[in-house]
Amino acid sequence: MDLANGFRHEQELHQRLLAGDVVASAEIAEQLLFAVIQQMRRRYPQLDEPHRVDEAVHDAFMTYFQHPERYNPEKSSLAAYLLMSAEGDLRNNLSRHPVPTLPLDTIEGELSLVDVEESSEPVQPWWVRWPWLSRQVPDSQDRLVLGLMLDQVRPTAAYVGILGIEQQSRAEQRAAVKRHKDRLRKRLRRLINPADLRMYG
Amino acid sequence: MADDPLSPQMQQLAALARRLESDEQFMAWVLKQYRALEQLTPEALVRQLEATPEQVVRLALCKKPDLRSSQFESQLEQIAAYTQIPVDGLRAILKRIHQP
Repeated sequence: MDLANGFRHEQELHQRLLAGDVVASAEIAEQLLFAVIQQMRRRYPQLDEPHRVDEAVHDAFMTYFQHPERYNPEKSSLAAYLLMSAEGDLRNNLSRHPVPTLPLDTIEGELSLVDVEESSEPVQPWWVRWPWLSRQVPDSQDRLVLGLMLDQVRPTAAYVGILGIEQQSRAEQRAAVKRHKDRLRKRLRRLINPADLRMYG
Repeated sequence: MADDPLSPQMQQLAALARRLESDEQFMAWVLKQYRALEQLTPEALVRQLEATPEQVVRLALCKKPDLRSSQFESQLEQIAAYTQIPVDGLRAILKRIHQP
């Protein structure tokens, strides 16, 4: 199933869930649960307790099943909405029960804002600083795009569902994704003083 | 079939189904109530439904049909068609847990 058909199928399932269809929840779980869990595990590879990722995703699905009306199909794909919901749950969970941090990649390097080899200081992974970052990027769509950029996800297809541009041609999609990413990079360059960032957290 | 390990995808669906056992809207809750009433193991329930573990996981993720609704039979047929579990067994379980 290509992206456009996948998006349409998601929306049909969502409408069926809203209408009280008794098998829609099962079909949604079959179609999206594993993909969302895999995406979350890729985003949080440093987490030593992967069950916390799984629980966060399960919570996101359960909340969606209880309140499907909270999802707005005009803002994002259903998969992106569930991913964002799961990330919110996980970050809340991590802030209450933090895990040890590791001196891995820096946000500066991940976004190509500065040359990380200039600094030999160990810094925390970007997701530890996510609460601060997310305050700088209040738009939920921007936050999802930023999350993928920080994960160094390159394929345009990964951004298409978030930006709701499934109907556009591949060339238009590439251009739109590039514009969105460039705008976010520019914004973060204005906001981030790399020296401050190293000290943050 | 009970000896076959579930695929990673199916294991995740089964984990979600276990979480949904606390939600009365779901067949997961119905199956848990029924097993308690009849003192059945999960494997015995699978056998009784003439199903596979995968089919029962899919069943657990479905919403519970409303016995009082005029759509009850059509909803039951829809679940049976989706899960490929015989409809008579599903009807019997739903009626059993709603007996006063």
